[in-house]
Amino acid sequence: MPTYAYILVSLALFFVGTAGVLLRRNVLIVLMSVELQFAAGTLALLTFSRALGDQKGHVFAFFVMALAAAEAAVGLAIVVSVFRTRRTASLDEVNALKG
Amino acid sequence: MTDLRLTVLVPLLGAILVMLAPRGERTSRPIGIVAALVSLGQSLLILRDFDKSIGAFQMEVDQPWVASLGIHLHLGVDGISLWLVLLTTLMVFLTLLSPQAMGLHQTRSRGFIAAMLVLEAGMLGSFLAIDLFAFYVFWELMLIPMYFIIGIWGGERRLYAAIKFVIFTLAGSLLMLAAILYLYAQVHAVTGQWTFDYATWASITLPRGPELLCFLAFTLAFMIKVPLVPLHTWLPDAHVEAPTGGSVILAAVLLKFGAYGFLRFALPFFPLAAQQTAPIIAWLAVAGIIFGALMAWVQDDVKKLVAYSSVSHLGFVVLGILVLSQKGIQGGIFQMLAHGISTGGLFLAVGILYDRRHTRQLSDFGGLWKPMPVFGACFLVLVLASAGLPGLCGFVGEFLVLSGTFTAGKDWQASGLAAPMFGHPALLAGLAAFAVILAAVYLLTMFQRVMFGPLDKPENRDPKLRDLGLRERLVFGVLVLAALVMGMAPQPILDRTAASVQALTANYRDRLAEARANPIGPARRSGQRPRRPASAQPGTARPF
Amino acid sequence: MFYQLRIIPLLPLLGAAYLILFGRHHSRRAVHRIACLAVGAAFLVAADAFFFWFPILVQSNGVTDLVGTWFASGDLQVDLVLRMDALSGLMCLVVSFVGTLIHIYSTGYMAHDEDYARFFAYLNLFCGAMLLLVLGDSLPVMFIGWEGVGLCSYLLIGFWYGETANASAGKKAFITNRVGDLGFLIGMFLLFRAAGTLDIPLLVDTARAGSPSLTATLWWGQPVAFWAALFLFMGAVGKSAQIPLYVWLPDAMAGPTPVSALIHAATMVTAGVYMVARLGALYLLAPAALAIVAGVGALTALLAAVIALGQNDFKKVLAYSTISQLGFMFVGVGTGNFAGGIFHLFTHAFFKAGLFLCAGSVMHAMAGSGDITRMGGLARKLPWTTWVFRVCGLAICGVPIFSGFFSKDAIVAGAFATAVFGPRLHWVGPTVGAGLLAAALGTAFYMSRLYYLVFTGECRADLNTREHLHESSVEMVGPMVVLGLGALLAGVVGLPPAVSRSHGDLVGHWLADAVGPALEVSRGLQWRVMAFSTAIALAGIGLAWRFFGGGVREPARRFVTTWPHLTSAVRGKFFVDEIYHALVVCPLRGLSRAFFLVVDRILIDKLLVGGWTVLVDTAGRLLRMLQVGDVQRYLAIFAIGLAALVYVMARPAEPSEVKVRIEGRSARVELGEGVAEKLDYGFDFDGDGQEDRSGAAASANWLYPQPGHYQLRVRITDPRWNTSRTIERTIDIQ
Repeated sequence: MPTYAYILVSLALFFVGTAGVLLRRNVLIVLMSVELQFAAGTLALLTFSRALGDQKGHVFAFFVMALAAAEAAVGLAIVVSVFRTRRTASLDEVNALKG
Repeated sequence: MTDLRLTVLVPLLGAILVMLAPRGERTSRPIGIVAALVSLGQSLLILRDFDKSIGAFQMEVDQPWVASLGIHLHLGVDGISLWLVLLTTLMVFLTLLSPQAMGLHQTRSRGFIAAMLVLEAGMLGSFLAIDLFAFYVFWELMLIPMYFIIGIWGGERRLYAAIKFVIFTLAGSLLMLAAILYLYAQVHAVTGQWTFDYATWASITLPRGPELLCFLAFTLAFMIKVPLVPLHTWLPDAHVEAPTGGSVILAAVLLKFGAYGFLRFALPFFPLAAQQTAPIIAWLAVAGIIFGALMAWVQDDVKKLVAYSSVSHLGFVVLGILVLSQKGIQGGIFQMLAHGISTGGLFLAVGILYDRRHTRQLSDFGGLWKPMPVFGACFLVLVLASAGLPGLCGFVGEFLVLSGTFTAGKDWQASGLAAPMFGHPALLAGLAAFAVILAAVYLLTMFQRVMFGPLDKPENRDPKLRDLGLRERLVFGVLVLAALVMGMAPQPILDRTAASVQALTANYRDRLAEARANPIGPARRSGQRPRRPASAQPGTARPF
Repeated sequence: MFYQLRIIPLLPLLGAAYLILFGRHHSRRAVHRIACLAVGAAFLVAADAFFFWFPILVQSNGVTDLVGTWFASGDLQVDLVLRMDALSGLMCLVVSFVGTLIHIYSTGYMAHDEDYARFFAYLNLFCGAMLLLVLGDSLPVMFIGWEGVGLCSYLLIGFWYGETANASAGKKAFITNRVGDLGFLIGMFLLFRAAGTLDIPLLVDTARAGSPSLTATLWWGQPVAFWAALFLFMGAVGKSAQIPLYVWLPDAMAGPTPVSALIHAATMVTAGVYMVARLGALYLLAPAALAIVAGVGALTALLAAVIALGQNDFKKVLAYSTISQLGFMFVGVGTGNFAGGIFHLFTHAFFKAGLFLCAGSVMHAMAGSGDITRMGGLARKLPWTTWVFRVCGLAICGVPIFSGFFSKDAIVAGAFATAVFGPRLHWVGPTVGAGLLAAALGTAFYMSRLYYLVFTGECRADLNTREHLHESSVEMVGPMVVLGLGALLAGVVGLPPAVSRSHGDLVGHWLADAVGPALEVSRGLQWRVMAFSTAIALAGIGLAWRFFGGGVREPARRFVTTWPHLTSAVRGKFFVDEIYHALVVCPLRGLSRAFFLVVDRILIDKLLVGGWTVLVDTAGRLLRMLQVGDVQRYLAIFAIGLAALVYVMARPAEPSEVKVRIEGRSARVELGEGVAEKLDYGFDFDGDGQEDRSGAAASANWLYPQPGHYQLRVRITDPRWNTSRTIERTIDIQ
């Protein structure tokens, strides 16, 4: 398969993820969408790594996975904490930093 | 030979020691007083070693700080800063000695004393720095302790006053910072080196437009500090809310930075712009002299009255400097010192009144001479010094400034440059001289309402209303003596400022002539791109 | 024998310093001993110096003592220098002599005051300042004394500060004096600008030489000398209580009576006259200024004499009398008759101080009250006082033999004889002379009225007071008698030449070097003036006897009922104080208040400063709306911003401008700066659709074969985005 096909998939994934982040109100789903974006990034990295014959992309893919895991852990922890205090996981309700 | 670095360092070390001392006044105040005394001693040593025949900087120390950026801790003293340094150390010492310095908040005295010492370090550094970066650092260093002094130990509206003070001052100094950065680049463009060195900066000529802008930025910073009408409204608030010590230092030293900065930086860096805008600023100064005096007259709060009198008195300083003659500038410098002594003393006196009676309303006093005769005598001397009675310190400065202004046209002609300054310098002097009457009006009114009249208010008959204590007598004794000596024998002071002022005015004239001869702007180093295409040059030489 | 003149003012000043610092810890005796000793020693030294140097003083510029440079800057040098010449020596003697007497008098008068030391400290300080004023040989040094005496006057008027009225009177005196001092300052600046010095001898020499620097026209066609003289005279007007600044002197009577005698009669208030005489040469350069001096003097003499007619307070009458007599002196100096003016100053110091001391003695006896409507018949109880008052009174009325007669006549005769005003203003002399004669009539009248109401007739005081009437103690009577003798005899130094050929006008001769030659008055005029003024004095006294002899009599009552408005206007001092208050003080204070409330508080603090605050605050409020607290919206904005940024960074490049330069038939096309790199260009110069030049170069030349219109096309291709733009121009080739 040509390289651009992979990139297209990556792009599509990223946009789906972005749309999820921007539009969904449930924190958990937003977090999952962020994971989608990570996946899109990882896919792009791997694609270019293959296409250019450079192993660095693979290495970065691992970094991204580690980062995604960390992000999920911290994010979920925050969500749980917010849920405990606010009794909700909806982003509409969590706006204490409003100016 | 004295090391100027130590002069700046001693108060800082003192502040650290004070903070290390146990809480409370018992140990921290003696440490603070000793540190201030050592500073005072050092400034006396500087005075001893000072060579009055030299107009340039003396006792220079030049220590690289951030060498790669051309930042040096470059300190030096000349006739202009010499006496201001002495005034600073003296007033800080007296303030720390005075039991009323903290006002009614006798808490956290350790912090207060440390703040005072840090403030002293900042003030001394600003007076001594001849590296613009170091100057700016010290300049801002003064701001922080003063903010705390007003904000923590101040009166009821202290936060409002402290924030107003900081925002006003900061607004000016940030503009100045921008101008400093521009000049920094400009100096590099002309000389090819990155440096903040004062002498280098004072030797380059800027293009007309940027010169004016930079001058305005500097001047705004200094005008706020002076303060010149209409940028003065922070002053009454700051003074009223500040504790006595804060007011004293604010009036005696901090306000002087406006005039000092103008003299030290704005004039030598931007001669042409200074000369062009001088009439406007001079009129503002005269307006301030009259306006401040009239405002002082209608105040009911003693402290506010003295604060407005500062506006009036410092107008004389600015006027003297803008006259740009030997008499005017020397008079201006002398007036700064005299104002430091007399108004600083008046604020201390107000502090005593506030301490005894917990009020500052004129209508709450009356007849206090009876219970407090010693205080009354000292207060009277300071009032009269402030009113410019000949024989006391206020007169000499005012006289020199006024006569300098009056003869400005003649002086300028004598120096070879046709008088470009004011259409009617005599009119300016005449208007400014009205302050002679007005000062008597508001000061004597104040004095009468506080000290004279029947002792008819029960609070004023309170036996607790004691006369000056020993420490207070010492403080006031020094001030009264200083006022007398400066009034009767001002010549030693004037002698030591003469050479530097002469150098300043001579240099100013040369640079002005040079700037007029070369109206386009500075000659750039080769390799730089010319600002305008060569063909456009001849037509743009505007006649001056 | 060698003296340094500085000792003279220094002695009382040291006395003052000592008393201020330590006086409270000393007994009354010690205090007044120190004080009297200080000023008495000053008198002795001054007298010794004066008589020792007398031959030098009268024939040269006198003796100087240079203490050092007071301050110097640029071309301005002010030396702390003292000089004793005939004029300053004479003044010095008067000041220290009267000063000593009044110190002695005060030991009796103030004997029961709590603040004994403070009083004597001020009194000593005053003597020191006054001596400095007199001896100072440079205008700024004189100014130290000038303001110094003003300060002492302020302190002593308000000496009993417990009464607000006293303190206010002191303040009024100081401030009114300061108005004059403003003129003094400006006068000094004018002189300095013109002559380059403030040393009095140099100024006088410059003026005597008629230097063009002083005669050059300054403002409104008048020379520098006129304006300098006028501004300096403004100072004199303040200090010597002349129209329009005389209002402080009557109020100054709130001070203790010895103070009124010393400061507000004998010495300080004459400083203005002294100053004008000292700078006489300057005034002679400006006849118009002299005319103003004389005119103001005559007007004041007349007005004050009229007001004095209606006053019922012993000291107020004397105060207006002083103002009036000072007017006489100003007419003297203002008609170029400097010696005459100084002569009157000299005699006035004796008789007016004597009169004030009598007032003090009377008020002492009357338990402090000075209301003459409550007095009467005191001659029997206070014989010494009465005799001194008679002598001094006759002196001021101008009755022959008494000193005032000679000095007053010297002035009046001088006014008629003078020629200093020149042809255009020649009428000034006789006019002011006539005015003085009228004032002299008033003087004789009010003085006799005072005498009759106080000393003759029945006592109108209440019983308690009447029983305690007593003659004063010896330390009070002694100085009074000495002054009375002075009032009687002081005239001998200035006998008119018509009276005594050999000893006539001694003062004029002595002062000739200091103030210029004495005025020549013809013998006949002297006799005529003497006769006329004697008649006037006697008429005044007679009229007063008719009205008030032995108490208020029928004619006086009738007068009041006939002209009630006139009397109330005179009693109300023509309401000058009220007018000043309404016209100057109130508007100024109202203006200040309005300025404070409107300009300072509202315009500057609220609008200017507050305006900025509101601006920043509003901006902050507006920007805050963007911060909704919704992370997703932030992200959306972030995404949009990012997209925009990417577009800006990576958008297809465009040429900023196309420049076509044509020289003859060759054309050069340049694409301006700001073009991204790695672009591909194509140039079609002749519009045939074929690219004539192409490649990475952003400029191209072309030589046209023949003139005409050509269509120029430039193609720019960005290989990254694969975009291409074409720009078209028409060019003319001649």
